[in-house]
Amino acid sequence: MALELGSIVLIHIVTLFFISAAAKLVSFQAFIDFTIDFRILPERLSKAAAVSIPFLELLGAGLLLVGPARIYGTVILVSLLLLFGYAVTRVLKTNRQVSCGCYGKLIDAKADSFTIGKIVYFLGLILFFTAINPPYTAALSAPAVITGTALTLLFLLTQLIWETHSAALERLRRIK
Amino acid sequence: MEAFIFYSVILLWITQFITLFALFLLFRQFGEVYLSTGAGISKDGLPVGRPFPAEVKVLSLDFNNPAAMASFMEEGKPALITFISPNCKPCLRLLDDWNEAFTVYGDQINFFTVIVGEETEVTHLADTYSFSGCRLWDRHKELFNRCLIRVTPFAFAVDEKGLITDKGLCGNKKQIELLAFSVLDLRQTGGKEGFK
Repeated sequence: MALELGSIVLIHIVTLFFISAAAKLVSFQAFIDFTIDFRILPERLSKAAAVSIPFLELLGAGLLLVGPARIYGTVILVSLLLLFGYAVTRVLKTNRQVSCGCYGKLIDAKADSFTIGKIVYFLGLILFFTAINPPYTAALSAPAVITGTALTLLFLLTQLIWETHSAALERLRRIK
Repeated sequence: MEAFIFYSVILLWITQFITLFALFLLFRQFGEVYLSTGAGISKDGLPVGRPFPAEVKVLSLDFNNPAAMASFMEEGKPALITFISPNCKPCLRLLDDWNEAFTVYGDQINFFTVIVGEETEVTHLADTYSFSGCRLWDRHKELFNRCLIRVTPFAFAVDEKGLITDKGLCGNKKQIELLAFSVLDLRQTGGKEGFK
């Protein structure tokens, strides 16, 4: 059972990072603007980071699917998540409201407590997956791919629900 | 078939979590609509000039006896009555100011803290925090409901005749003082100037 769960988690992580990277690349200029808006690095460095993030996501997620290089994929994704966590925490401390750009323009996700929860969730999943370390063949079985992808879509739906709720609350507070 | 059930169960569990999360957000949104504006909340509570429902029974945490609120009120002395709940952070932050106000006005005004909540939480609050004046527990939220309050900390100033002279959200020293002044002013003017 652990093997199947590990495989589902692997596909869930990989598909989420693929979708996230693809969404950033589709609206690349918007993602660069979102990254600059974090105001953590100087503008030039922010631009460089914004350019490299989607490719690092693709690389990290892709390497997870390649048996021997899996550890490098894990290191890349964990590093990215920790960097995202640091950036969002810094923004939260300044009380500014910025878009996290996690999915480019696909979903206008804000850098907020939900983003922190999301980062912790994925760090936990990567930890779980590393502990199980399912073989490549098991991970790419049809049921694991379908279930893992469905989980990712449900996760995106949750993000959408959260964003709709946050926007509704903001509107209500503005009315007051 | 077994594999199908296994994967379906996983998806169903995740869907359940998402449904619960969505429900939580929905109730959070309801709360925002229901509570309306801060000014609206300040208008909560029994109107000024109406008698405070002192006949409602509450439990004294100092003497551990249930009795009508009136029995704890010293005759001929106005009262400040604040409602707090154990899980409300502004209520806990208020306690220092409340104790300070007691040292200033304690000889002129009766101070009552009415706690609303479950027994374990109330006991924990009473044991952990020190607050001056009479500590009461509104076990069934009867007094809370009769006073038409929706949120805590909320306080009433009641004159010696048992009539409400002022009321409102009570989160700091300034708000306590405003409430205290309403009963002290009445006393000094003999109630001729009406309510604030």
